[in-house]
Amino acid sequence: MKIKFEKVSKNYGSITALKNINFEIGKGEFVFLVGPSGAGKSTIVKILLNQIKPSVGRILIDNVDLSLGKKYEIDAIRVKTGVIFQDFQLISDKTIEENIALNLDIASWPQIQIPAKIEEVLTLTGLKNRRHLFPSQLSGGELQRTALARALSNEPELIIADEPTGNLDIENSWNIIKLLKDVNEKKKTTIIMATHNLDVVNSLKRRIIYLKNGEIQKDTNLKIKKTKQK
Amino acid sequence: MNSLKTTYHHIRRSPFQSLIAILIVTVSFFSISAFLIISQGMSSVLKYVETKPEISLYLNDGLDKEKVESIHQRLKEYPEIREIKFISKEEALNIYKDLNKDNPMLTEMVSASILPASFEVSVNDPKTLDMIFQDFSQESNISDIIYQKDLIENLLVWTKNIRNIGFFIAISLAAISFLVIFVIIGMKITNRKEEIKISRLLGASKFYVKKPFIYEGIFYGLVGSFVGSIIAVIIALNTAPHLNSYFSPIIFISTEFNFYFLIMISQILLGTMIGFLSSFIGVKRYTKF
Repeated sequence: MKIKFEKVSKNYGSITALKNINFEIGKGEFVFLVGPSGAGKSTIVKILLNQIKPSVGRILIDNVDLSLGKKYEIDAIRVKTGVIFQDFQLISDKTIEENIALNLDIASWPQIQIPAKIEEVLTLTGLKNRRHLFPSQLSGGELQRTALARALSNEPELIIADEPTGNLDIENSWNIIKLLKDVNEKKKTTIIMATHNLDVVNSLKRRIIYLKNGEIQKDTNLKIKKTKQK
Repeated sequence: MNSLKTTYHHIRRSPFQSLIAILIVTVSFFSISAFLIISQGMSSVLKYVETKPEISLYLNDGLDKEKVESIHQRLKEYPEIREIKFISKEEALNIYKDLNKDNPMLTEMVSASILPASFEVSVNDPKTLDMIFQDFSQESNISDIIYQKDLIENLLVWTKNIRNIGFFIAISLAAISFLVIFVIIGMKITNRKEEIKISRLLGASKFYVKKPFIYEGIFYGLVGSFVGSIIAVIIALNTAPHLNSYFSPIIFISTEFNFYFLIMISQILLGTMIGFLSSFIGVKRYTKF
């Protein structure tokens, strides 16, 4: 999936959350959104998910303008997007298995293939023995892995992860990063990860967009491009 | 997990709300079905009375054939006459004997000579009855006139009133069912706001999240109307022998399969329609995306 931010700004009353943001993310890229709290990472994630609209500018995902796109086009983009929310966004009265099944059903997976797919992602995330539990019965780390399992389940073209390692210990954090890295490399899934975890960011050596006060301070991709141009 | 499974999930998670919705619809449709069955019974009574001789002219004894024929000819000249039937003394005795066949004491003491001959006249237009009554009440050859004007008029008024009241009650009960399903679907949508929001974030279309609630409304309407009408039909069929013998020879409670089949089908269709409309409007009203 290709993503393009063109002169995007977002204001909440007198507060400016994003200021003239421009970037382009190509298919199969792995990009970190990094910055202190209030830098604008979550605002970018929300705009990408079409939860909020930009005040100015436009966002194109696979050439569909999120502000002007038809509802079915936006829904289609969402179906092709796996999201790991900071607050998990799991349905409290559905089991882990049912939460994943819902995502697959929304993505119109054939009913017959759903159990096998659930089995696969639960195995991948180490949640096989937790499948019949409800979110309230899981630890923070398990919830995070459930959110990851759900995001991976429908084999999305784009994964947006908002602080996916925020609730995890070091070992689990690395396991999740490894999973995302594998998906990115093997399936060419575009991944955008907003994170505070600089260890992860530095070790992976992928494109980094640094944000501060709603502005892009540095985009390593641009740096690479500029270096190439020189 | 398809929409029907989600609907089942919704019902299972808040069983008391679902039970209330089904109970209200059941009671409503039981009452509507019962009204239809009683209304049909009233129609049978009215039809029976309407088809019976509505005016009977009893002749004085000793009239010769010419005079009887002259009365017959005069009666034929009235408009809207449906049937004129001459009951001779012998026929009157046979009818009397038939009516009192269980009481031989009464039949033994009566002979044809003490029973009057009569004309039984049935008409299409009740106004004709008035005309016959006016013309023949002073007639010297007529000993008595029995005229069922009051009975028919009263019966007509009662039937009309029962139909009007029944119709009003049916409309009110249907409206109550509609509102109960509407409110309960609204409550369920409010309770499941989080699920709707998450489903939308995962890419569910509006119709995808609305569908289970619409199915739920249809389920309440379908089950409630089926249970309500089947209870009414079972009660009707069980009480039919007693009521019909009480109203004999009128069949007050129908025992025809087609009649009950039509009631069931129409009630289930109406219930399903109410369930669909109330949940559809409820979903439109309560889901804001």
